[in-house]
Amino acid sequence: MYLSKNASAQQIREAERARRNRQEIVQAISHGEISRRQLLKMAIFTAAGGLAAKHGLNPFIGSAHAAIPTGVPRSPLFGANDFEVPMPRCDLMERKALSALSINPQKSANTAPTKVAGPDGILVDGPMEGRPPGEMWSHQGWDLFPPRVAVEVWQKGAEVCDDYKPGVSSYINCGIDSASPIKPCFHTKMAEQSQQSLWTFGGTVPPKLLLGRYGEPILFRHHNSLPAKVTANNGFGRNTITTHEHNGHHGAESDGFTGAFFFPGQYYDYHWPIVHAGFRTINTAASDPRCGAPDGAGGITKLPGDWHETMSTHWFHDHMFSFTSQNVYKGIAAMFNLYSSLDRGNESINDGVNLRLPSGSAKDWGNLEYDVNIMLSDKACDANGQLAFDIFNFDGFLGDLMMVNLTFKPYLYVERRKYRFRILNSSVSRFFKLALSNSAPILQIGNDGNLLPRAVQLTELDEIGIAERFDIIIDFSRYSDGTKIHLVNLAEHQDGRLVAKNLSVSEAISGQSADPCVGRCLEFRVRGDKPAPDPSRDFTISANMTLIPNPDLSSIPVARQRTFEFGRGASQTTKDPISSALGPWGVKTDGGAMLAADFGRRSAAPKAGTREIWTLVNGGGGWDHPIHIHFEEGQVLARDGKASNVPLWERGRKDVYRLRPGGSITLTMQFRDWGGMFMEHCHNTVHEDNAMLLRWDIDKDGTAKLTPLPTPIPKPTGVTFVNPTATLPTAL
Amino acid sequence: MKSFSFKVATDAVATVLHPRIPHMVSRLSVTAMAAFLAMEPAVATAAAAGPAIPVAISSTLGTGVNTIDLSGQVIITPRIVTDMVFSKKTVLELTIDFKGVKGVARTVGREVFVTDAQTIIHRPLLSRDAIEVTFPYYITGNFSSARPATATFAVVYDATSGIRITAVIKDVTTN
Repeated sequence: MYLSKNASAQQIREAERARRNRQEIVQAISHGEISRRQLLKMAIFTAAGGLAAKHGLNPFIGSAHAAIPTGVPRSPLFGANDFEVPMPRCDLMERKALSALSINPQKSANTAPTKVAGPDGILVDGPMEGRPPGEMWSHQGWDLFPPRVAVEVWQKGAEVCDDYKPGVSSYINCGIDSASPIKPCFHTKMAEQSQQSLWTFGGTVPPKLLLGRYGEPILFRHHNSLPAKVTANNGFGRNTITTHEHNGHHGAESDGFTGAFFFPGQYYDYHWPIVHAGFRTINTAASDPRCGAPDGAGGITKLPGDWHETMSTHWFHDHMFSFTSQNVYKGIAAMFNLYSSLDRGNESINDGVNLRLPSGSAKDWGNLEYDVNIMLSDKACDANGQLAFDIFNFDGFLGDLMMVNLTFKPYLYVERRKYRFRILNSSVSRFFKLALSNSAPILQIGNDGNLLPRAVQLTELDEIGIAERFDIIIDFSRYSDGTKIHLVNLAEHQDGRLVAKNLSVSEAISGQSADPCVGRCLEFRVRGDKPAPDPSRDFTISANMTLIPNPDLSSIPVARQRTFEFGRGASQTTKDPISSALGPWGVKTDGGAMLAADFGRRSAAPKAGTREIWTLVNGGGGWDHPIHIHFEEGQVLARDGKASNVPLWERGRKDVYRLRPGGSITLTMQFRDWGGMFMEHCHNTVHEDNAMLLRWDIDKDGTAKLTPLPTPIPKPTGVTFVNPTATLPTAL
Repeated sequence: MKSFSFKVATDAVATVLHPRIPHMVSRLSVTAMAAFLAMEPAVATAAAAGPAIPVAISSTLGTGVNTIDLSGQVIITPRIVTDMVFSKKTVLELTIDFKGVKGVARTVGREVFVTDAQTIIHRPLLSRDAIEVTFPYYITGNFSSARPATATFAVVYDATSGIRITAVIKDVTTN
């Protein structure tokens, strides 16, 4: 799709024209000047949901002078080369006392008046907090788990970072001087991103990382300081936001529901209680130290709940209805490490509970020296070097620049010892398949937010879908000083639907792939005359491969089974201008019609306190979908109907389920502790936005009778509620 | 009023006008919404899972005191997935399970190397393909002892006889 480096000037010119034409469309959508429905009526998109097959517009259609596809021009590099700049560690978010907040947080939304950005950026009177008002959206568990830590962040356009906190020394952080200002650019030779191009937490790069621990509820105050004018976005992104803590076990009011977005000038208080699932019924006396948290002094604070549900690697990102892809791509994504007595981020405390995973020892918990967050993504830039979003069709967006922690193909110094890497795929549509350039073994210890029951030795990781996280361990102890090893992407894409081909390591690093994001993406530079001290877990002992066994659900009856088929050709049965979207993507529930998203429609309503089995089916062979189910971790029971088809690395708990082309996956999950409205959707966020998303509810009172939860309809002047547009007949 | 002025290769301009402007003529034909809703089949999958194929392997890896005799069976489960919507290339999915492979260190004789590695590969279905994957083998449970090897699978497909696979295993040179 991207033009080769040898493309002629004419090819590049044509491709650039076509791209500008497409960007005009993206801009019109993002500015609200035109809807997807209107684009379909104008035949700019075809009946099948693809971009009109016109040269000068569609990159897959031949140009005027040749049969080869017009293609997409490559992003300018401005002389930047691979592995010239260091990989920055993520920037730690400040954790502060609740008393440091200028406005006290409260259980229900703060509706005190303030000035909120209205249509066209004109300020209007509206509520200070964007959270829907009233009891229904008041914080669940507010009195049981009052927040103890406040995190306050402003979503805004790019600016220089002058308070970078990597959490490690400059030596460990590749020599980066955290006291020096960091410009918002992907490489020192690349353009500085404008305030309209890049929107990140705090407006800065590197991307943010939050450290939290069980038993320490967080009040996450998110200010929307994005431009008041919807048009001030460099052609993509929407200035209304809602933040999903992926995959937090929280009440729905703090889940970042797609329809609970808020406007520039407002804030939203999210209450993340950070509890072990099952706390209401399991280990209620908090007597098991495995269900606990670091106490700050080398000990354990014991907590209620099921220790088998301990989670580790999360992230949070925007979930704005119909604009998630553009907003996440624009930078509204950060990582979140959760610490527990099992996974406390201290490799030296040997209390019989701590798994002593590579991290460090200086602090009681949350050491980051040898525990590295890696946010992988693909980006593209326009001719000026500004971040650019493209729309090839409704099938997915691919960039041509590989970014690691928003840095173009960086290097990372490592010592001769074991490291833990928490890898997040934060792309829009791209899958990765990772290996080391020398095919050295990798130990996979986690999948999504969860440590596996047993570590798995691999030389090639499975494809990592969008939003999935793989926690891995690499042992650099046997390499000599100066050795360079690369992280390599083996997954070749031709479009945003699915991986076209898995390459071998030698194929991927040969430079022959037409996909610019195939090949080496991160360079590890080994340093040290001798192996470095490494008190972390000894994986030469077979028993130490055991990490966190799955919760035993065998005694819990299965209350319901449901089937969700993800496919194309969706229809829309509702017409609410705010809550409904148009396909072509959709979800068919329990054999019903393939429906496009409407966050006012209830597609499922599991009863609180029950367990269900859900089968997710890929309704097509020409695409893959990484399906995310919010709220609680699931266990994969079968792939394509067979338990034996579940690979070793999927035998833990998960929250994103890759269907694979033409495949299906069966999982079980519980519905407990909290209630409200949640979502299930494809995390290829272009699919999600067009309109592969559904809403499901958990009744707070757990009764058999579904109490209709009114749908929030946010406006600058305040949130109103409407009755659900529909309830599917099989929802109950 | 919103309009799109698309510059194309010939420098001609194709203009599509916003539908709020009544009676304006678009140079692109208008497709009825109903067609969009009805166009595609709801189910568009044709995935055929073949029976598991055992592939015998026997190879000597390493040299001198590090020589290891590797043998056993790799179990490969193929799936052929057809794209019935876009008619794109048929996908071949191979689930490759190495756990039937064992190695014995020639000098020590007793030291047994095992693997429980699996890998899942997606490739376009071709009549002939050479698929190279790596896998680790190690002294039972010992991560630090793990070494990589390369398996090259020759995959031959025809619609009548299905899939045939043979394999060659060789060392991976690590630095």
